[in-house]
Amino acid sequence: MQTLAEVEEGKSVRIVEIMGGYGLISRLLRLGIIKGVVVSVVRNRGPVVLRFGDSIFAIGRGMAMKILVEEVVRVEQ
Amino acid sequence: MSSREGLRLVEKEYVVGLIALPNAGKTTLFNFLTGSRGYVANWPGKTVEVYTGFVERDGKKVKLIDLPGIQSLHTLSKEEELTKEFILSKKYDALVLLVNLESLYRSLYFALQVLEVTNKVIIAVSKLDTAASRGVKVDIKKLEELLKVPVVAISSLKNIGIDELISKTIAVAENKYKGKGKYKLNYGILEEYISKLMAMGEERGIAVRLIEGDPYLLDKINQDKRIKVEELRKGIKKRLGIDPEEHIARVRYEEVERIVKQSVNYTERLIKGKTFGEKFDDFILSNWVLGTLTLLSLTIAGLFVIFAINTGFPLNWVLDNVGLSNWATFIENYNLGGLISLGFSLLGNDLVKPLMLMLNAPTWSIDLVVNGVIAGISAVLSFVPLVYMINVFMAIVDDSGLMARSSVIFSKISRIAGVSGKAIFPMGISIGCNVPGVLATRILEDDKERYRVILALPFIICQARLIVMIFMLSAFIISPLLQTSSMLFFYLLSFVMFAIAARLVSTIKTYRSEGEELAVELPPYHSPSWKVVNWISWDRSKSFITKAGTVIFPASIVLWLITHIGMHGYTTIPAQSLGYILGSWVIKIFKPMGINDWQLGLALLSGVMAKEIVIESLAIAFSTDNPIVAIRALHLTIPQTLSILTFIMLYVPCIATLAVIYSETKNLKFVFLNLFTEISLALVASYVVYAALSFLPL
Repeated sequence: MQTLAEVEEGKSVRIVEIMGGYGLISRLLRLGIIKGVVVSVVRNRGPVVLRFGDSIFAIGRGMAMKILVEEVVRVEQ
Repeated sequence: MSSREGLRLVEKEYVVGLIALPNAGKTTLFNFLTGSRGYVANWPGKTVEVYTGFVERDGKKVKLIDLPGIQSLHTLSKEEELTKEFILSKKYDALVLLVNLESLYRSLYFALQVLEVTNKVIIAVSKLDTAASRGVKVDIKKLEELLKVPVVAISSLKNIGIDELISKTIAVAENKYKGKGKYKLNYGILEEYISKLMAMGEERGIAVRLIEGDPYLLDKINQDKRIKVEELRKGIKKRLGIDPEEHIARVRYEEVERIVKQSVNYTERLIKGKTFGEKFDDFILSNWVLGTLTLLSLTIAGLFVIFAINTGFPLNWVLDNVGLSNWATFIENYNLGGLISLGFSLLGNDLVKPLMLMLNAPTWSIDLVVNGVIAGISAVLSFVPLVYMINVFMAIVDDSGLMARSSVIFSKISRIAGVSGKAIFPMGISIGCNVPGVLATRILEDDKERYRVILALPFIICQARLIVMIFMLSAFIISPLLQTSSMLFFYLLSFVMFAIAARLVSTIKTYRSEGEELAVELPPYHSPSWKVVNWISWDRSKSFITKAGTVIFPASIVLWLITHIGMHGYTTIPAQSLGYILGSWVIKIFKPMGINDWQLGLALLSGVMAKEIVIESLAIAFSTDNPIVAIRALHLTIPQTLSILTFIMLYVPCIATLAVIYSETKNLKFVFLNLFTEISLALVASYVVYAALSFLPL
C-alpha cells in the first residue's frame, strides 16, 4: 500500500482510504474524490495533479500523503 | 411597482433559479437570457449579492434568479449556502441547471443531488463544441431519458438552443413534465434507514440528505427528529461499519459513471498533441520556482498597469529612478484618480465657492461644502475607476483558468500565513490600495479564510502609506542607505504582520477552517467573454459607490467637523478645534518614546480618513505649505521617526477600507476586531522598534 504522494506520474490508482477528519474528507468530497474512485496521477512534483473523470485537480502534498491508494491496471476507453 | 405594471392584472410570473458549478458559464447564460438587464441586490437577510432579471415569452414572464455558483451541496461559503437553501426551499417554479462539459462528472454528481430533491429541473448543457474537440460527444436524447428531466444543448455565445431552453423552462414551471417523479437511487443497505425517516414524514430526497448528515437540514428539523437522525447515523456506523456520507457519495458516483457510459461517447481528440494550455501547465506546474516567477510576473504586470493608470504609482517611482523625474511628476498629477480629485477641487474652489460667496453664504458653510461635502464625494468617486479595473482584472484571471493555477503555485508561499494561494491576489492588490484588495477577497472560496485574509490585509502597506513613509524618512534620515533599508524593513514588517495577524485570528474558532490544504480543480483555459467581464465589473463598481460610499462620505464630514469645530464654534485654526483636544489625547500613547506633539496626534487621527492626510494635516497644524518643514518641526530622533513610522504603517486601515470591510462582511463586531488587532499590533511593533533602536548607536 502506498500514499497518493508516492505514485509515479502516469499511473492510475484506486483510492483505498482517506486518513483524515471531516474537514479533509468533505473537501475532497466536493471535488468528487472519495474512497473507491480511480484517479490517474498526471504530475507528482510539488502539488499532486490528478485526472479524475474528465477533470484535472491539484491537491496539496500533505493531503496526498493522507490518501492511501492501490495501483490498478489502466483500462483504455 | 410602476402603475403600468399594476394595470396588467393577473400576469403569470414564474420564479426560476439558475444554478451551476462555478465557472460553468452561468453568468454568460444569464446575461444572454435577460439581455443584460438584470439588477443586483442583496438576498433578503443575507450579505450575498444576487442578480435577478426577467425573460418574457408569449405573455408569460419568467423571473430569473442567478444564484451563486456552487461546487457541491457540501457547502463552504455563504454564497454556496444561499444556493443550497434556495434549492431545498422549493420556493421556485423551475430550476435551470447548467451543466458544463468541461467537468461533466462533477456537474452530473451535483445534478443528481438536486434531482433527488426536486424534479422541477431543466438541464442546459453547454460547451458542446469545445468538448467535441476534446473527443467528448454527448447524446442529449439519451441523457434526457436517463435523468428524467428535459435536457437542452445550448451555446449562449452562438445563440443555439436558447429559445428551446426558455420554452421548456416555462413548460417545467407549468408542471408539464410532472408525471415522471423524482430521481431515485438505490442506496442498498441504507434503504431501511431512509424508509424509517420517510415513515416520519420526510420526503425521500430530504431523508437521504439527513442520513448523509447535512448540517443545514439537521439544523432545520426539530430536536426530537434530530436526535432520531443522529441515532440512526450512529447505528449505521456501528452496525454496518460504514460512513453513511461516504456510502451515499459512492452510490451517486457509480450512478454518474453509469450515466456517462450510456450517454457519452469518447472518441479520439480532434486536437493532436498537447494544447497550448496543457504545455503551459506542464511548464508552470513542473518547476515551482519557474511557475511562481511566471505567474507572479503576469500578476505584477497586470496590477502595475492598472495602478499606474489610476494612481501613477509605481510607474512614478520607476520613472524617478531612471532619471525622468518630470515624467514622474506628470503622471503623479495626471492619473485617473488625480484627475478626478482635481476636477472636484476645481468644482469646489472655482465654482461652488465663488457662487456661495456671491450668495453671501456664511464662511463656515462654504468651508463645509467645499472641504467636507465635495471632498467627501471626491473621495468616494476617485476610487471607482480603480475598483472597476481591478474587478476586470480579477474576472479575467478567474474566468481564464489562471486563478486555479495561481492558487496551486502560490500556495507554497501563502501557506506561511495559513491562507490559500488565491490570497496572493488580494495581497498584491493591497500593495496598491487596500480597498480593492478587500473587495478581491471575494475570490476566496471558504468564508472563514476570507475573514482571516480581510483581518490581515490592512497590514499591507498601501501606496498612500508609502507616501507618508517617503516624506518622513526624507525629513529625518539623511543617509540614502538607511532610507532604503528602512523602506525594505517596513515592507518586510508588513508581510510578517500579515502572517501574524492571519495566524492569530485562526486561534479564534469562528475563523478557523478545517483542512486548510489545497484541493482545487484546474479547468481548461479559455478566453473570457468581454461583455460579461465588463458587465460584472461595472455592476460591482456601482455597488461599491452605494455601499462603501455611504460610509466614506459621512466619515469625511465627521473629520471636517473635528478639525473645524471647537469650544467657540467654527474655527479655521486647528489649535482651537476639537482636533487639538483629541490630538493631545491620542499622542499620549507615545509618551514612553518622548513624543508629545498634539499636531502628530491629530495627524494620526486624520490618517484614519486617508493616510496621505497625515502629512497634509501636519502641514495645516504647523501652518506651513511645505510638508518637510512641518515634519521637521516635530524634531524627531531617528528611533522616534522609525518607531512612529512603524505605527503609521500598521495602525488602522483608512476609513474607505473599513467601509468596504463592513460592506463585505456586514459584521460590525468583526470591524471592531479588525481595529483592535491593528492598533494593538501596531503599538507593540512601534514600541519594540523604539526599544531596539535605542540601543543602537544611530
